[in-house]
Amino acid sequence: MTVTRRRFENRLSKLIKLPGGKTVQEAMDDAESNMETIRDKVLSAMDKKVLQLLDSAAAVTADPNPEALTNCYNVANEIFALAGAFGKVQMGEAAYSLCELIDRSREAGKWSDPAFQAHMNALRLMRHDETEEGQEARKVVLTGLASVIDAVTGAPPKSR
Amino acid sequence: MASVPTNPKAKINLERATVLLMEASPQGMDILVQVLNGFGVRTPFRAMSGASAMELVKGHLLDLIIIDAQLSDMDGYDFVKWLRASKIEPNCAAPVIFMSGHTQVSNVTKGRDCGASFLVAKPIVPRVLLDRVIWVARENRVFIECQTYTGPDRRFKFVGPPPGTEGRRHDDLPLEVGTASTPNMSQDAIDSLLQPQKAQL
Repeated sequence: MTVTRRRFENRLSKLIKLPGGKTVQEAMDDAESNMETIRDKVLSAMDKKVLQLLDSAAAVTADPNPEALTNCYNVANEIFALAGAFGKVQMGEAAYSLCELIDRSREAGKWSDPAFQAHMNALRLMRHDETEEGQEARKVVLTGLASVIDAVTGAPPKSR
Repeated sequence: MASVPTNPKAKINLERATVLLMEASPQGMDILVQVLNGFGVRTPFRAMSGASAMELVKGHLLDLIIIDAQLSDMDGYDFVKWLRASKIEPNCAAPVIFMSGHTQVSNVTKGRDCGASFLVAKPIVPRVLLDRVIWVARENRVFIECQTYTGPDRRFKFVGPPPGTEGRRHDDLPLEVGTASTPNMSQDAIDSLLQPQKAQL
């Protein structure tokens, strides 16, 4: 097999060193302040996605079609990314857990509707209860979701 | 890989960098734009589909591409593969930071093997993303072109060729360390090389 090795100029490395600009700390602070300006808009859109996911759950049955599952996976993945960016960690973890369930169920060739519904209930809970007092209870729910996935699909691969 | 320690007081200038952001979710795109603007990038190009991004790659000189795994019309892995093999120079070798939400092992491997320079797990955190931008700005990996892979050299750990093989490069070294060919240095000799001494005037 022929392998060609070439060097291209990394233009970014020259530009980033040009005079002017800002310090790394200023760049991070400015990025965080900019994100705050869109917080409400993004979280409101995220909430709509959670509702969309809960609605689409009706289409997922004991023997779901792959398209419905892919749709749920994509929406859950998006919720995870948006929630995490704005500190909604537990909502993000519940959405991530749903991605895990769908992904590992596909790999294992198994499906459990009760496990899926447990995730839907967890997302409902995260949406309605964001109180400080409920934090420990929500943590227990998230731990439970992980156990449910292991029970349905077997232990996770060691590399994870 | 450990992140590059970045001095918070170090200066960076991204005002003149041409950046392409690719993300299918409008909210995800908003986050990226705000973060990149905060870093000092003036007006990044935005593409929600692979098709529109391909047009931008053909018509503009790009210094950095940040791409999500899922685009509206194709997946991000296929786009990066297309970019690397496109022979549109120098864009085909531009640094690519690949973002992924749910990071299954298979996706991380796919990201590396499609030719991305670096993978970042979502959610987007400004500190982490800036660290990676600085990392790709500092790196100067060889660009590999062969039948099965086109992109930055994936072998940057220098752990030697796979066990039981001699390696394909002339400078590949075996993992086993051979017998020393010169005597070991004494601690005094090591100290005399490393310790700064006061000059006797």
